[in-house]
Amino acid sequence: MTDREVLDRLDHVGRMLADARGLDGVRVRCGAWLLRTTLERAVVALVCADDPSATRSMHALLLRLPKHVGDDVAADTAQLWHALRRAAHHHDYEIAPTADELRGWHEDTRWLSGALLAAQPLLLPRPRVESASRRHG
Amino acid sequence: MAVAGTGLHGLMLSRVARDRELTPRAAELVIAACRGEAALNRVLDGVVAEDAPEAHPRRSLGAGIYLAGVRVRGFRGIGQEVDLPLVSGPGLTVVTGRNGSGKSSFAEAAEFALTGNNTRWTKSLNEVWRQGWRNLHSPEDASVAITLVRAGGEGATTIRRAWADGDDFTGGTWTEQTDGREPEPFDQARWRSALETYRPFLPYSELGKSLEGKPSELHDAVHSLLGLEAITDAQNRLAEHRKRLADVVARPHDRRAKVREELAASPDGRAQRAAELLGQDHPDLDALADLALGTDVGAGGMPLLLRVTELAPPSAADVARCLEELDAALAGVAAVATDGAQMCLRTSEVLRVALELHEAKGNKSCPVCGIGVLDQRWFTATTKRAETLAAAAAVLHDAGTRLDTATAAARSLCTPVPELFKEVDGLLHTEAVRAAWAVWAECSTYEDPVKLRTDLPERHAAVLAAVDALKTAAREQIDKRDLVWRPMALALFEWHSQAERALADQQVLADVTEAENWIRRTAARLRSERIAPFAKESQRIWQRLRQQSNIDLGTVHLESTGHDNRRVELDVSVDGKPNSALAVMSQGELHAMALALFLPRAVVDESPFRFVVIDDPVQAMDPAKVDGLAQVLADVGLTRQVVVFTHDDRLTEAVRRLRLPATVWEVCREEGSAVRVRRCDDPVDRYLSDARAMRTTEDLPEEARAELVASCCRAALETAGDMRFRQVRLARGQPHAEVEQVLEQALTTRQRLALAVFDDPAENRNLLSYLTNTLGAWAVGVLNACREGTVSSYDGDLLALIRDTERLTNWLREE
Repeated sequence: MTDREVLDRLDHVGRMLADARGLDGVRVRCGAWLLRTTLERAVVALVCADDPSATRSMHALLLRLPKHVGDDVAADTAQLWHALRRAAHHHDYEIAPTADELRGWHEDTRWLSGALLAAQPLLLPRPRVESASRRHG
Repeated sequence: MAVAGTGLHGLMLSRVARDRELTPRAAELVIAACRGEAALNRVLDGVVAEDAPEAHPRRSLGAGIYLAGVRVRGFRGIGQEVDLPLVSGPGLTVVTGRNGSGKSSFAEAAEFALTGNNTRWTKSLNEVWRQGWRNLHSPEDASVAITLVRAGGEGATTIRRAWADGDDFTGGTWTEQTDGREPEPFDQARWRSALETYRPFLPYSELGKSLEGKPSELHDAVHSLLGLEAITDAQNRLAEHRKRLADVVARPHDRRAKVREELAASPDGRAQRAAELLGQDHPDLDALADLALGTDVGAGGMPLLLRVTELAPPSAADVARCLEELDAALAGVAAVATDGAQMCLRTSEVLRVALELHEAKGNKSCPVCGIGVLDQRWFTATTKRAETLAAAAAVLHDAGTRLDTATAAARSLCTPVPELFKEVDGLLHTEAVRAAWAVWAECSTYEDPVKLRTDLPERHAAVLAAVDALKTAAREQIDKRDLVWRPMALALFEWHSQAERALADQQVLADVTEAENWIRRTAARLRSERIAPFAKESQRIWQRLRQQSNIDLGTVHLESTGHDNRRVELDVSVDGKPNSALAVMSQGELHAMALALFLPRAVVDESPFRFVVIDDPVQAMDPAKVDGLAQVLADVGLTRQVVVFTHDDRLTEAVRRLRLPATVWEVCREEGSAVRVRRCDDPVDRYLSDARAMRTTEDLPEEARAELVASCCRAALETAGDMRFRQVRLARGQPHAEVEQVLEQALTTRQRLALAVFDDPAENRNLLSYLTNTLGAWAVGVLNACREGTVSSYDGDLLALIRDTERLTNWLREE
């Protein structure tokens, strides 16, 4: 669980978005999936840092999140995770998300995972997180 | 028209033929009204119906028309050209896509290509809707095309509306192209009637408004569902003519009093007479026309005045001629009437008598002188002398006779004073003219030609002057009266024309009224006949749609007691209690009700269309109703091609869950309005195909790829399990919401599979051993790989994982 993994994933999605013409339904969902795991990893990294045996259920982790970051970031993280979950997973009927939606999620994930990682107590290389305009959606 | 010919039009014809009480003229009007405005006008004008349009019978639309595809470019949300392929045959097709994906653009394009109309566009008050029809990403040219095939027909027909750069929405070219032929202009009229009667498109906007608008709007909507608009149109056509004719017939009656009042107030004799005529029960129109046109000048001195103007005293030329003759006669007399001539005449007379005496008595002594003897010698000499004398006397006599003739002629000119003067006395001053004329008339008694000759010219001039003065005065009077009369005559004439038209139109009005009443009665009968099977079908559909709704639909009927009082009576009962108000229904129930009312019409056997396009029927329906809807649509899909556009995935889900046969297309909008349509398979298959696609995605790092594939496989497993669980529970009659609640509580893949396999979340513990025993160790391996792989990257064979996942999902689905 490293910052590197998080950043790598964000970069992958960023590359996918850079050439949006090739983004069909599968690849957009693929991107959403990557963003979701990115966010999950960031949450796990923060919440489980001092308790490696903690549950890995995202529902439970998201509930514990406000103890580690501000309420706003926690709420936004929960909201984004649910959106990504809906887009990428767990529904037997599904409509593929659009490239625009993916772009928004990418921005949000970049910002939130940055905020989550920044809140880690022990930090070696603090990840470089670009300040990006927040997007909701 | 083919459809009308076999449908309504033919129906009306047969009903007209059967009705004995309908007069032939009214029957003719009914048929003409059904044909259209032009035909009706022809019949009303009395033109023998040559039926020119019928001389070119339209090609029949044929029957069994299916949709084969919709192709759109540069229209609304769709940029570059994209095709929505459809299987042209019975079956349910669901086109799904997110808001703004371009799915509705397909629905609108299909409707617009065929009907040239879309309620959302053409009825929208908001100009923005109309202006924004072009896609921003491909602004040059736009087109919408719909491809139709006929069952057993001659190949596909493509109807295309294309707009070049700069064309207005209502412009562009509209063509129809049959396979292997050149495109020809789209014959809109050929399609219109069928499209109106059996409208195979039902957009959301219409579903929504159909039950919420004014009662009369609902009535019209349901009425149009019955496909009886053609009759309503005919009825309206007749009603319009009836109103117009009633107006024409009533107008002279209404205006009569006013016109008469104006006329009566005028002193003019003609006006008086006209007023009198108008006062009669049935005014003599001919007499009025004569009055108005001036043939009859009426009473009150007008004819006298006119006679005055026509008065003709002896003309100056006549008088001059007489005077000339008189002068000549007088001169002739003066020339011969000397004393000698007089003497000759008298001597000649004496001699003639003496000669006669001699002839009678022979020689005798002269009775005059008594001395001489009248002998033979005397006789000879005297005869000679008498002849000479007589010749001289004759000249004098002739001159006298001529003078007498001339005098008589001159006197005859001096006619007595005309009676007219006395008659016209009250209107004109006639003293002068009468005096002048009396003096003139006096001349007729003159014995003395010379005096006559002296007086005549002077007196004649006096008469002429007096008569002229009188005529001028009379003309002034006439002009004065005409100035008053003319506008009245005009008004009278106008009234007369109206009255004549009214008279002529009275019978027409009666005929038209009869025809209209007949159509109204027939329409009412047809309505109740037609609505009966629909109402039954509607009830059946409602039964399925309503699911848990406590609202029951009884009969549906249309109430129409006049143009402004039309409504639909739906016998709705709530919990068994009758309640005709739609107010008790929720939005979703209203939509369901609208669908229940609409579907029966679109699938009626008479319709040439074998397809129905429904845009967004699911909105506002609760999940249970969506199940009902899916079933109803699949039912219709057994015999009809049903194309449903929806942004709501619940319909797709319901179709899948209920295992209803359906084809699902997904519309995705990508960058630059590039819209993609792809077949949307069973979600499990899609997860699996996603997994395969992700496995071969090159620009992903190895571990991310493995993780994604494992996630997809896990999703496929969970989905297959959920599907099975829902199926079992819902089939058992458990309410939708409860089933979903149970599913939500199962958090892990293993719990969800346990639900599917054992129908009990508590059996979770036994899942792995059960799977090992039933299927083998590989099944547990798949389960573990999926679970692990999503947390840490899976390092096994991804291809094998996908293959085993497929095996396991197949088992789950088929078990």
